[in-house]
Amino acid sequence: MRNRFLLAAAVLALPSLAGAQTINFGTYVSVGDSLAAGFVSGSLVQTHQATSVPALLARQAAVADFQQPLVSTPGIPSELQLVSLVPTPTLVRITGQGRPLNLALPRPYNNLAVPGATLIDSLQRVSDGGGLHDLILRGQGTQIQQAVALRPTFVTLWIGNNDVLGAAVGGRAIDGVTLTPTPAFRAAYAAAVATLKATGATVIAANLPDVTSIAFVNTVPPVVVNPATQSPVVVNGQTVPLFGPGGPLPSSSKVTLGASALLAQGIGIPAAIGGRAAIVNGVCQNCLPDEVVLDASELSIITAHVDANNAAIREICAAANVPVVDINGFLRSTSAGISVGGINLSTSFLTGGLVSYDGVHPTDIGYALVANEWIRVINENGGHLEPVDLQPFLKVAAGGPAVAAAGAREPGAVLSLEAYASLREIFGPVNQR
Amino acid sequence: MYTSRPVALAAFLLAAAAPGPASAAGFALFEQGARGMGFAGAFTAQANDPSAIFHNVGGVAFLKGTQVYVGDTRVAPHFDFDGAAPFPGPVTEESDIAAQFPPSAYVTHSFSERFAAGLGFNVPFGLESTWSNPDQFTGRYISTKAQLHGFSINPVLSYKVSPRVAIGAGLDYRLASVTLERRVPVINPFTQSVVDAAAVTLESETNSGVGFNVGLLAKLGDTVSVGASYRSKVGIDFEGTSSFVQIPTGNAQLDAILRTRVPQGSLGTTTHIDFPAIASVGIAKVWNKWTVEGDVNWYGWSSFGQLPITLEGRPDLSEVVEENYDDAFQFRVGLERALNEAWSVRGGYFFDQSPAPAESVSPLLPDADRNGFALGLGWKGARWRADAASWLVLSPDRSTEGVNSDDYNGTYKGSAFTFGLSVGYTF
Repeated sequence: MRNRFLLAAAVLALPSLAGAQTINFGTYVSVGDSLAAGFVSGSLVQTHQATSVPALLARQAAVADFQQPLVSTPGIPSELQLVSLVPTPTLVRITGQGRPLNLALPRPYNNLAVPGATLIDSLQRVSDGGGLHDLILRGQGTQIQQAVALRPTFVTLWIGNNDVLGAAVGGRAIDGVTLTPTPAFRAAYAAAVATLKATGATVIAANLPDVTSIAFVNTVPPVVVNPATQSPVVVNGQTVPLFGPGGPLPSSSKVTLGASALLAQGIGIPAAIGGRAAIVNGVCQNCLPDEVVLDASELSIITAHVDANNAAIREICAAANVPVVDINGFLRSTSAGISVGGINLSTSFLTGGLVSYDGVHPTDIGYALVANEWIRVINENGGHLEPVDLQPFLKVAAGGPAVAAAGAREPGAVLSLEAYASLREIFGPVNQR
Repeated sequence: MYTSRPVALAAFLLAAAAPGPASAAGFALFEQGARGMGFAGAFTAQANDPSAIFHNVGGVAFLKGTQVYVGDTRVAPHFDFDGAAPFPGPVTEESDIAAQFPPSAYVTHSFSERFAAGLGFNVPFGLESTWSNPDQFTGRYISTKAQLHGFSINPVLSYKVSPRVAIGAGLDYRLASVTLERRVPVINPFTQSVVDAAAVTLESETNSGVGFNVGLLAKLGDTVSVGASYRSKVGIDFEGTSSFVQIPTGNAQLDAILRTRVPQGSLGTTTHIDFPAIASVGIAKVWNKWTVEGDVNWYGWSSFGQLPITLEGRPDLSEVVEENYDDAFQFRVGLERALNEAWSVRGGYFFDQSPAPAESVSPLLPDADRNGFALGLGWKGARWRADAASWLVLSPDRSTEGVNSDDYNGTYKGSAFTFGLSVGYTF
């Protein structure tokens, strides 16, 4: 009788014991892509890697010996910088290139995230012919293989962005070419989660932002803008559409930042109001190419993939008891701006504070806010981490006048063609990497 | 916009009075006469000097002859703030508030055994929250300085319905002005960090609103009295200007762009504040040389729901600050011991509940519960009387609980020391 009572007490105690479990951050491994790598302004560089989301999580969890594939300034590729605001904001890459600083580490890095990696890359790719995969993976196996080799106690899985991002950056939404087909995504995601869970580690994942809502896609309007006033040109009470592959763009089309250097040359701007674009014999000449334009159908294909992939992430993670950070919802909540200490931060390009110069990746401030979203979910699942202090990122207490960035200057447009080309190289079609 | 002589005079008085900081919760002030202060403000059931005009207008009918009672209180509040992550992180900020001197002056006249009238001038509300080092203060984009200065002109009538019961009523003509200062932040696109683009100062005219007060005082036998009083809500529409001063960022290109965005000169600005209703009940008893009183005050702070700040033609710079205050109570007990015919000593305690939800506890209104400890001394001659009292007001640490609506989180610690002196004369 007495024993039976004790047994009952033990059974009753089980759920509360489960709820009180704490996360062991002893060996923390990050699997991911550019977002987890701390990629900022088109560059992997130690000044920003130092505040990558995994590095911030490791710092808050006091993880000892958290190693990243650090790259010296000005980064690989070299960091974009803003060289002037007027008359046209001009972004160019800093001349020169950084070098790897941590190649000799005799074990896999804790932050294995590779900029440009797709979900399937994380499972299958070992090398990419001298690219960032080689720099980070060093021939020691795939991201997932190296993660397992580290015998992790805690894993963050933040991958899948490049399975949809290439379509937005490249202006083409083609299933199997710029977008990973959803069945393949689902199968690969289940495999990744199963492999990482099998290590016994606590795994926390993140879903995918709607890549059609990023600054890269939402900064250049599909109409002619007066560069002096930054407001749309109005003729006879109407705005003037830019010319895309098929002539005047409908208002539902989006023009990417990749078009900005072309627009500066008059490409896409109708000849009738001083540009170079015209339809001659039914052929659009000097019109914006398809790569820098997303039409309504492409936008809806991309969003449908994001939604389907997020459904897969949700279902697979729920079944495997893996909490999911809602990055998609967080990005949506920032689109109207969020207030931090009376400072309104938004995803507006250059002026919003959350998006770096490539129009795709967050700034350090943006990453710190995202890290706090991770911490919120970690703490809901047995963690006890303090939020990241945003003050050093906002530099509010420092006061005093700001100093403009110095460095190489060369003429260009909003995003130089060369800078755009290197972004496309890293975040290109999913089937060509 | 007031240009008539009486109001111009009132505006001058306002500047001279410089009444100030809230040493009661919200931005209420209860330092309305040094005798009542000696009882920790528990005075609704006694109301036996001309400060009855504030505490309980029912008491005025019991005052004999013509009486005046004037005084001033030195209020010296201080608070500091310990920040928490995520913002502003581990910083300590301090207030920088000069001592304030809210005055009070009352005159009453008994026309007959039953009927009396009075006129009061006092400061039932006021606020001063100014932060040290506004160039570096981490909350400067919310508020660097907030002032609410004002006073009430309160003519009253009081009538004894029986030898032991009196009622009274008055008009509360309230004048006030508001000053708010803060910095405007901008993201420097070159550094992707925050810089100050401008300092903005909102200054209202001295605007007015009208309310009323009523009261009842009953003497139940020779040693017990009870009182009840009510002062209505007063809404004031403020009109004024916001002036912007651009702050150089150190980058000429950014400064040139900001010059086209920061309003030049001053912009017409309006705001509105509903000062809450106050209801009080109290009971007092005399035992030989001892007098004791206990009061409960209710403040209808739920009327302070929003602080709308509207800049003419600039919806982008206008805002509605959500305050969502709750009604709140105060509990006061006071004790007096007569030492002889002339002298008496007093002491008391009050608890003053904060009406501010954690979301609204901010550099603009760093509100908290308050514990007040009172000591007082009185002297009374044939025609003259004089009273002195002091309050030590301590606030328990007030955390924003991580939910401040501007994401400016941490813990505020406040205290205030007040010293009041009042002098009375009976003609």
